[in-house]
Amino acid sequence: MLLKLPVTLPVIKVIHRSTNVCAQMLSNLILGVVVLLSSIFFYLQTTDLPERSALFPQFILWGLVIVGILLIFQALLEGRKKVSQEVSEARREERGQFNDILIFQVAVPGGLLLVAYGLLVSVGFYPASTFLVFTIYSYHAYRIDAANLKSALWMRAIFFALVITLFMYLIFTLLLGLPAPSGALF
Amino acid sequence: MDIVSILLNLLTPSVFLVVFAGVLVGIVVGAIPGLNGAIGISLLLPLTFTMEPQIGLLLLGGIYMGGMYGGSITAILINVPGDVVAAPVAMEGYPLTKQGRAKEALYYSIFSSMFGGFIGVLILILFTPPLARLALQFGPAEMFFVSLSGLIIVGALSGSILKAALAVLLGLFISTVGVDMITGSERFTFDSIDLRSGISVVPVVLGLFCFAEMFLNIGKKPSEQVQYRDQKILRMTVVKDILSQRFLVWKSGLIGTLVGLLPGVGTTLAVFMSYGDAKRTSSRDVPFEQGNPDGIIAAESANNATVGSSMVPLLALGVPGSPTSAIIAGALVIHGIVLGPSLFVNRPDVAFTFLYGMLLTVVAMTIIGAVGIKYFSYILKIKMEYIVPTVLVFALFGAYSLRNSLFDVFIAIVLGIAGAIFKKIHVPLAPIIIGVVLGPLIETNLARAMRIAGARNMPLWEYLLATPLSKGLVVLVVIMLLVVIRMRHKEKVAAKEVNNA
Repeated sequence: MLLKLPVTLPVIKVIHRSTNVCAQMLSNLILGVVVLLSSIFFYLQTTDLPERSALFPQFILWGLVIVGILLIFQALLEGRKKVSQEVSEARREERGQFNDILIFQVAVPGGLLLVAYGLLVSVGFYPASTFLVFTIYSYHAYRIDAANLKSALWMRAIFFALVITLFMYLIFTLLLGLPAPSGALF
Repeated sequence: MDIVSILLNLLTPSVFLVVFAGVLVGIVVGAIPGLNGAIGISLLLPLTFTMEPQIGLLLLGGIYMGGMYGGSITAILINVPGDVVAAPVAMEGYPLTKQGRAKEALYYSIFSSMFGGFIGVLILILFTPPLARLALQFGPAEMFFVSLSGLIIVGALSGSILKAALAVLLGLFISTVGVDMITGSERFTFDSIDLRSGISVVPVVLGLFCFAEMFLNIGKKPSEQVQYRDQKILRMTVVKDILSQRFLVWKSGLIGTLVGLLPGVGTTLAVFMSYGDAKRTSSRDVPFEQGNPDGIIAAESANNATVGSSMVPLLALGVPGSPTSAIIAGALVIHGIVLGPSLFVNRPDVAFTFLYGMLLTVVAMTIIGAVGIKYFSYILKIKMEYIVPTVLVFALFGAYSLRNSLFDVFIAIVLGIAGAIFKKIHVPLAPIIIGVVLGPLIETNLARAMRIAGARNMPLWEYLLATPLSKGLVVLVVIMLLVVIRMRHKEKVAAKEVNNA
């Protein structure tokens, strides 16, 4: 926690001072801060461990602290460089694309998978897999073109989800006898 | 184990069937942009749990071999390399497709892959048993240096040094979660029962490779459909031409083999090095980037040669040479098989059947590749909207089935989200996996070395460098590191040339 203030203050300053910070530099800055803070947090967890158990993780966490600091410094140095108007525009565009990816290609599918995980735990693997195939199939079509979301697509998505689930049930459960996560329904 | 028993184990219909199925799956997943051999292996992992270990291993080996070749199909037909590894093939193969010589380019690709594959597997057969015998003499100091070398090399090769170091350290950190086997203390478990048994490598691989890759494939438009005119060409014409360039084949195959032997180095380096070398030395009149077959011969020979040789450190030392071999190592855990020098003592049946069985994967790849060319364009018709959800649910099942653990599924999902972010911010994923696999090896051997050094009342470094073998290993690691840095520089130059073109 001692390192938090001196490091995060210039970080915030840089983010606010310059709107032409490229996505790569900003991500390095955030990555460095996250790595540094989480390494300190985990390092504190090792202090109660026996010396022999703590030694190896402590080596690693020291390494991570150094990497975190270097990432922050690298990003701050990059942020100080002056750039032309064109580069600045390109960087703004790059940041926009990066944010799009974070939302639509990481957060949404990640969220859908976590919902599927919840279903897996509560109602079982096969209903969860039907849900996941249906939603991801539909979401993929939506991402290509929102106009794709028509009743024919929903029907195709339901049919495909049922076929895949049935196929997995036949192969894994009936043919190979492998246990699938069970819930209230299956 | 004598050769007759090995052949008796191999020459059975079930082995042939499994090998052909594995290679076919490998070619299909390798050909689909966004998928690769590692994902194919992860998806079929649950199938191997009910098989004999050697047959399961051959299925995975077949996918690995087929996947390496499959990447060249889309590269040649639609100029979309399935992986960066296939970029040089796209440079030479696609111009041939545009000239109406797609079939010829595909023949060059498959037969060069065959020669490269054979070279790699021969090295696997010849080098693994003696290396394993030598490794039986390794003490904690030697094993510590061997596993450390894997980490150093993989780190030195992966993009930005800082981010590669982050990835390696992250992998090592993940490996420390759970109960410490030496003292029995819980580390980073936060009183969770699930975390006590640690984080297994398979959910890590599934998360970082399958989930992350599929997330980023969402919304990708279908590939361009290929409509090429076929000029008639005999397979033997191409084979004869490749044989007339046998020096190039051997050279590229050996580059692939040597690079594959280095733990964690990967195929990209071998391919770019061989391609760059062919570009400098080719005697053909055809300019490069306009359909010079030597570019395909060099890249594909090197590419498939890495498959066999990357398994050498895995089987002989228990150190995976690539993320794909790390998954194979994880799959064998379910069969109670520990990879490393003891494998050849405890389970010679598994070890030798796999070594010689890899020859079958090369044969299967050649037959499928040479006969199936006219069907390859159908692979390109498989739409991403069907692939992404299918891979995700299979990966969910795979993550669960290794230890029948819902917690593993959760870990895979969380790492999938993290992996997608890492990919976008250019943190390499392979070193994380190698770190997870090598972490326990490094820690255990370091702890043993410290105990012995303490008992002998000598400093740790003195004990670590006490034997000629460990001194030799340190020198070898330094040499390897220097060679790798030089090779990396060459690769960058070659890749720059490819990009410029």
